[in-house]
Amino acid sequence: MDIKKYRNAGGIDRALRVVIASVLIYFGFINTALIGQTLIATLVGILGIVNVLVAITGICPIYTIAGINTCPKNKA
Amino acid sequence: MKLRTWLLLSFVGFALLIVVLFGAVTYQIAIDNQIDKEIGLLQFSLRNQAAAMSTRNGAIHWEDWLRRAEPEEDIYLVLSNRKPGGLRPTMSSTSAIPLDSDIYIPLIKQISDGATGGRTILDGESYLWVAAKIDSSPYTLLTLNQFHHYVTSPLKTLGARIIAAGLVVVWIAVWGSLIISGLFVKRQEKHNAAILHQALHDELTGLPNRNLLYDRLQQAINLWHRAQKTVALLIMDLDRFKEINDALGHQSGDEVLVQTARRLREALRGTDTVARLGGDEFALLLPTGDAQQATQLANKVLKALEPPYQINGIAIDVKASVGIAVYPDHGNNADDLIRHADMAMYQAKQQGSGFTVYAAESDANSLNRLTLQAELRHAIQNDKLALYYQPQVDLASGSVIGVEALLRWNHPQKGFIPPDEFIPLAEKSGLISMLTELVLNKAFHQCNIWQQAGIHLTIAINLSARNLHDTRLPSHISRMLSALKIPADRIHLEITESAMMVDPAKAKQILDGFDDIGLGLAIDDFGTGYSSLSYLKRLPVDVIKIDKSFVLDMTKDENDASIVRATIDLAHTLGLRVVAEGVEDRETWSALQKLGCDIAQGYYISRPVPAEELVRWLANNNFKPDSGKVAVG
Repeated sequence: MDIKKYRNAGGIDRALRVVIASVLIYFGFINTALIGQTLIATLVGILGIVNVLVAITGICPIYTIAGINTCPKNKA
Repeated sequence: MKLRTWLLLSFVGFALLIVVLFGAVTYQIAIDNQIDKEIGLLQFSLRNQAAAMSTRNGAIHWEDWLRRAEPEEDIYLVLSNRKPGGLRPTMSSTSAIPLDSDIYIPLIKQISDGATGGRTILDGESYLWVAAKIDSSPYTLLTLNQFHHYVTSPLKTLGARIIAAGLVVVWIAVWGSLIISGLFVKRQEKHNAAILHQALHDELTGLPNRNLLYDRLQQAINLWHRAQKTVALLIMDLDRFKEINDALGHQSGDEVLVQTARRLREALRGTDTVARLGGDEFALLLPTGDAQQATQLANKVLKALEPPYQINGIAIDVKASVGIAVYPDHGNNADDLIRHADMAMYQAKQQGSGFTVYAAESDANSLNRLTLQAELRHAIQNDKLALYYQPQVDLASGSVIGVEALLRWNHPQKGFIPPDEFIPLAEKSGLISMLTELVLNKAFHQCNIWQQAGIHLTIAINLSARNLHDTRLPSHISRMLSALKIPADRIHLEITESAMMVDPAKAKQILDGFDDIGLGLAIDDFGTGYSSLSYLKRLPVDVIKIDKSFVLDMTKDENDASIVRATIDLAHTLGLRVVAEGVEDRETWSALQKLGCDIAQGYYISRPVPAEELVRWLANNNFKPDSGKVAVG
């Protein structure tokens, strides 16, 4: 697969996303008491999941539209 | 990038503003709700107490009741209306404020008006208050509860939610800004690409323009340094394109260009560039071509242009001339190569050979010519050309009757340049109309000056073949004559035979125009061209000038003498006068006199001289044929 061709999120970017996603999913789905409202908590959780997906694939649709690429230049 | 940062900041800022605004409003609403609820509860319990008290039927023991209250949290006041002036505090639990203080007045007024609960500030401290009247007694109970007991809890529950919701909003705002900036940048790039295309392409034909050709030529030249492949440049110019434009209109001219562009594109390979340099000039670039390939292509291109063009239902034959220059043989850089291909193209055009490969030896010539052309233009514009006048003398009386105006160019470096060198150049380069204008102007003004000085001479002015295409010339001359108040017969126009023969019909039309004004007309260099008798008869000519090649040797060469004699006879038979040019000695003068020639002109009389010198020469009793003196100013 030429998934690498579409990859636009670099290593540091993806690592950062994993950290943020963990926090978001924790407060969105696991410790919902802090936020206290199901709708907002779910939204936060979904944001977390989206970031996990981006971190795994290395493809961020927003980056694609905006024309951003955080991959190291020589590897791209 | 700048736009993106700006968008990102404004979106996030906007999102944060919304979050803060909504957070503040929500917080306020939550607190107000809490307080309303609290006041309701307090009212409920206070009313219960008041009700309990009223059942005792007024026999209450205030001291006992106050002792049961919790002094640290609340302040209990008992208001009484037993004293004059309505309600006022009569008893309190723990208030630090004295009972007779004015601070209570606004609150007590509200209670008197019927209010039973709310928020108030006493002595800088915020309180919730509730009042309940004890039925069937003059007393009212009032409790004041410190406000801060009730505010902390909503902040805790709301804070986390507002932060979480704010996070989601800001996140979405970042997405939005990135998407919008992305779309914007894409649109901008598309726009820029369109502008770039416009800057590098010709609008009419869609072909690359001079800038792009130059760029590609530069690239091809750079490539040579790596791959050692020669670069061939062909420059092509349509022949007689101006005529097509003039005859059929610019739209048709444009159509010819568009069709030419299409044919050129079809004749070329994909890696080659065809560009329009401007006007009817095209360029073909073979980035890896040599002279042989270039000539092949030139042949192919000329063949492609051969089928007649269909322009608005008219079939037009278009021919072109191609000049070829190859890098590095014919130039060291892009500029040289373009210039040399251009020169080769002009050479091809002159020779009518279709195409020419640039040759260094012909360059010197063309360079000279181009330089001279530029210098001539400069000389015309800066009035560096002068008119010299050569007298024409009546052979019978020996008096000066007129002069021929002759153009002189004294070049700062090259010295005197003869007219037969620069006039053809002017004709080719389109400077001739400027030159004619200059000559007419100078001659007419001179004529005007002489006239005012009482010198009455005819001035003969030479016209070029090109002037016989200019149908506006007669009316132009007519206007100048009347502006300067010069009688028309003072001006003679000399036209060579060959000039008339270029387009006899047109020439006749224009000569008739001159004749209508009353100008004198002379055929110059008679005998060297066609010497067509039929035109001589038909054209409104007054004077024939015998070419000096016949006159110079007429005293030695019997043939020349016969020709001169025949010409004089012919002219006289047709009622024309004869001027003999090139009279250089006394013998020729006498011979012409014997043959009955009317007018003589030549070094024997005077060489051409500037106007002031001529005036001096005239004043010095000028020319005396019998003494044989040649006046030299």
